[in-house]
Formats: sequence, structure tokens, C-alpha cells
Amino acid sequence: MSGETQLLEQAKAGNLQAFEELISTYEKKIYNYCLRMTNSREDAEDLTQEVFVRVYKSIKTFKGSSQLATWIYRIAHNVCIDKYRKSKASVVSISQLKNQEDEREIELPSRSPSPEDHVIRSEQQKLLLQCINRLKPEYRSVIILRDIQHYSYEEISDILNVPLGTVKSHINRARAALREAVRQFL
Amino acid sequence: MHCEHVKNWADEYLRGTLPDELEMELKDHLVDCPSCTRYITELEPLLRLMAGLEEEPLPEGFEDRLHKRLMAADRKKPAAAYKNKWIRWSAGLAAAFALAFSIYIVQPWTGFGSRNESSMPEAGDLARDSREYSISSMEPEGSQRNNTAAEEEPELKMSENSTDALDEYDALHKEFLEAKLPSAIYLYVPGNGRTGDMIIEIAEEYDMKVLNRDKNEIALQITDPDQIDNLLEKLAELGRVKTDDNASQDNTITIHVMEE
Ligand SMILES: [Zn+2]
Repeated sequence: MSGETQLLEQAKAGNLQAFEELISTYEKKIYNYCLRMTNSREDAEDLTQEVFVRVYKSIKTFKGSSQLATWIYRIAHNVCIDKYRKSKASVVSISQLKNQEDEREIELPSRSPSPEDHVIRSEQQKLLLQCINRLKPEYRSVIILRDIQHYSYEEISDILNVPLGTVKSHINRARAALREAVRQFL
Repeated sequence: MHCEHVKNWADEYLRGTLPDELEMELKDHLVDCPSCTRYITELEPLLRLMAGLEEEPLPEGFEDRLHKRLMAADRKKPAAAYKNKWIRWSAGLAAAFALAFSIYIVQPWTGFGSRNESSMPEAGDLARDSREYSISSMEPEGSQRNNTAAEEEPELKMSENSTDALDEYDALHKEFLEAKLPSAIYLYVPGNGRTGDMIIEIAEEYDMKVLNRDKNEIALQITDPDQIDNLLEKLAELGRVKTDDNASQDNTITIHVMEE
């Protein structure tokens, strides 16, 4: 019996310490997923905590038919989507995103000569994160899982419970929208 | 390699993680395809920027705060929300039919989904291979009830008094459905006269998309997992319902109508 399997059994039996040890491997990944989904450290912590509370409450029903990581990610995705539904106002669709780019809602970095490279880069990353945050959540999650956290198409399909073809087309559409959005500062 | 495939492999190609053989194929394609070459050239800076986003550490004190929340969750664990789901479902059916309702979860078999009638399992085969969950086995201990008693639903309100209980109920419910969305439903009916039409009507009533319809087979797309409950409940009005144990990979469900 592997360490994880043993911890899982103990966690299912209600052992909190075993549960905490079990999830310690996943906390940082899930926090970063939530962070990229929300672009806010405060929201990301709230959501990550919510994720693990839900995992804790339903660990008994985890059948082991999927990987534990996949299952936790799926709960994280649901938690983020629920949050999005509760605060729909701040999100725009991809077509709107393009229009808003035309209106220059995103502040462009100054084109002044020779700032240090890492300054440009971190400025670019900040703008990129704003752009990602303005994608619809289903596009946001695929792009985060694939291009930031580097999961395979199959893993993403399992996590989001959508067909492989949908994952690929969402990734392509999300990248097209992002390329359009970042063209001005890249 | 087709242009569509280039899109799917472009990121691994740029990261240098593509297997040699695919990399060669992709390079060959790029030589002759200016549009894919442009695609890759434009994608590169975006992917580089995204890959450069470093993982952030957990906020300080994260685990302590989580520990407190888990302890709190432990203290107010509501009773058996998971089971209530089944009682509610069964109770509805019992009220409608005064019949015990069972779900059979059958082992996967080869040839599933084939149009060939002879590859379909017979009712008897399914029953033999089935693990059977009945109302009584899903009930909380100490609440043995018959179908008439089930109509009264005395315990159903229990968890609804507490928001936390509802939260847990929702989470369990969601996970349960996600784990159990079957890829096939077998509906055993006495005669297959209008069954197909009636299934289409049910599908339309619940906004499910009919993807395909054959004489004895109807494929539906489920957009909302909650629809599964409604679907199964309605189908149970038409005949005996069994679901398979293969989780649906793409939110589609095939209903096989079987005469018995
Ligand atoms: Zn091409």
C-alpha cells in the first residue's frame, strides 16, 4: 500500500491529521490555480480553503476511479466557477475583450527607453494576468491548466469533465483571444 | 501532419517536449505551410510569457487557518445528507408507483454501444452481473420503511434547516453526479410502441439535446448534471431502468430501449 493510499484510507475514516498530510502535496498547486483564476491572492486563499473543506467533507465518497489530484482539481474548478457565478459582473466575453482592447482599457506599459529587462517582463506578466482574468472562466481554466501548469490534454479533459476535442478548441480560442490582447505590449 | 494537428502540438514543440518523430513531422509541415509557421511564430512570445509565471508560495499561516476551518467543519457535520438524496428520489417514485425502485449498476461489457441487437445483454444477464442498490439499502440505519411511509418524507427537511448542511449536500450531490453520470441507460419496456417519441418529449422538456435517434437507441447531450435525476425519474415511469457503470466521458448518454 503506497503512502498516499494509506493516508487516504485513514482520511476516509475521519483522521484529520492524515487528511492534512494527504492534501499537503496539492495545496500549493490548487492555490496557484485559484490565484490565476481570480488574479487575487485574497480570493485565491478563500477559494483554496473552501476547496479543501469541500474535499474533506466529501472524501468518504471518493471512489478512486480517478486520480486524487484530478478529483481535487475538479472540485477547485467547481468552486471557482461558483464564485464566478456569484460575481459575474466583472467578466467579459472574448469578443468583448477584443473590443475593450480597442478602447485601450488596459494600461500600456511605457515605451520609454531601456528599463531593465525584468521590469519589462514583470510588467508584461501583470498585463497578461489581467488579460487572462478577463477571459470567460471555461477559457481561463483551460489556458491556466495547459499553458501555466502544463497538464496534458487528457488530464484537463478529466479535470473539467469535458471531451478532449472541447479542451483543444477552447485552448485554441483562448490563445487566439490572448494573442490579440497582448499584441500591444508583447 | 495537418494544420489542425500543428495547433495541438505547437506548445510542446515550442517547449521542446515533443517526441522526436512528431517534431520531425511538424518541422516538415512548417517548411511548406506559411500559415502554420506564422501561427507558431506568433504563439511563441505568448507561451513564453505564460510559462514564465512562477508558482507562488502559499500565504503565511495558510495551513493554520485551514486547520481551524477543518476542525469547525468536523464539529458541525450534518447527518447523512448523501443518503437523503436517495430517499428523496426514491420517495418520489414510490409515491408515483408504489413500487420499490432499484438501480442496477452493471459491469462494463465488450460490444457496448453497438447497433447490433445480438450484442445487447439480456435482462437476465444484466441482473446476474449486477450489484443492486435498493431503497432499503440506501436508507439510514434504524429507519426501515415501506413504500407508503416513504411518501410522507418525514426526514427530508432535516438538512435544509442548516446552510452548512446544504453546502455539504450540494458538494456531495455535485460530486456524486459527476462520478456517476452513466454513459448508457437501459430502459426495459413491455412493448416499444411510442417509447422513442416519449423519450424525445422528456428530453425536450428538460432541454436536453437529442444527438441521434435510432429505432431502439437515443443519444442525448446532458448540459446540466441535475437533469440526470429528472431523466431517470421520468424514464422510470416508462419502464424498468438500468444504468451502466461506465462514466460518460463527454456528457452524452445513450438510452437503449429494450423490449421484455
Ligand atoms: Zn499548416
